[in-house]
Amino acid sequence: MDVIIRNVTAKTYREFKARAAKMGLKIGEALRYAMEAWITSSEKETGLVLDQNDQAFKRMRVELEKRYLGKHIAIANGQLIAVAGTFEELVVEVRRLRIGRCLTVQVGVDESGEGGEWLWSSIGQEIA
Amino acid sequence: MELYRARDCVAYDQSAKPGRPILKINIETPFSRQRVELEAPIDTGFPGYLLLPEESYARLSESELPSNYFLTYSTIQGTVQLRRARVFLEIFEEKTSGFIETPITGSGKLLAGRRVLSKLRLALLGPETKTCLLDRKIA
Repeated sequence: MDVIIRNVTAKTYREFKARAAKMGLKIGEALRYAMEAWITSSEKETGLVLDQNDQAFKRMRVELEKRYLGKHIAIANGQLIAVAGTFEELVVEVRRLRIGRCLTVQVGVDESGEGGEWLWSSIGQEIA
Repeated sequence: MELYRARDCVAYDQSAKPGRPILKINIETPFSRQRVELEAPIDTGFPGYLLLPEESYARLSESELPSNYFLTYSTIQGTVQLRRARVFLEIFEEKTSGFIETPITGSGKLLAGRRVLSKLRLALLGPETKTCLLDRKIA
């Protein structure tokens, strides 16, 4: 989606733009990563504990999106272990490696962010 | 007028008052092929996939997504973020890949949400107290 952001100081914007250019990123991409990093840094408040695979994904994310956009990937023990065109192919590869549990994602394609409005239903006592 | 034929039906859970529509869902984990059959209440208010209690999710989440891909739902009590893992789902003998979810904090419960329901042609037959899978329209 496109957004307009107001009240950014000229100095901050110049420095941000220069840093993004140095990393070979467009302003929009850099801003997205910055927003996600800020969300991650506040995740401790939500009770989310990140394991080594999740931390590895966060480290590798920019590179993964450049090289494997749309592919299914698997990360185990903090390492990228498999890349495949479909989830079924990825499963075959992970089974071949005899790995029972790993982090998987279709890079840049799987849904993220806002999931929608949870209406007044079964949520009452169970989640809150 | 569009006509559909009921192909397969499952009776409402009559232990709830009034009877509660359910789906029989087989979950298969991708790597160890562990299979679990569940009777999940249908919840059209829940926008997500298949919500599980925390302990069931822990057992079946062999293929979890990175936390960047956990969905956040807005509720009357604030936002709730759910962990998410990919599994194979079999509903009325139709197999598809889908997701299981559980809250990051809190215990969770068993529910089939709209992201699962939107893949199915379902009819809730209240007086007959059954949920039916429909075939494509026949006329």
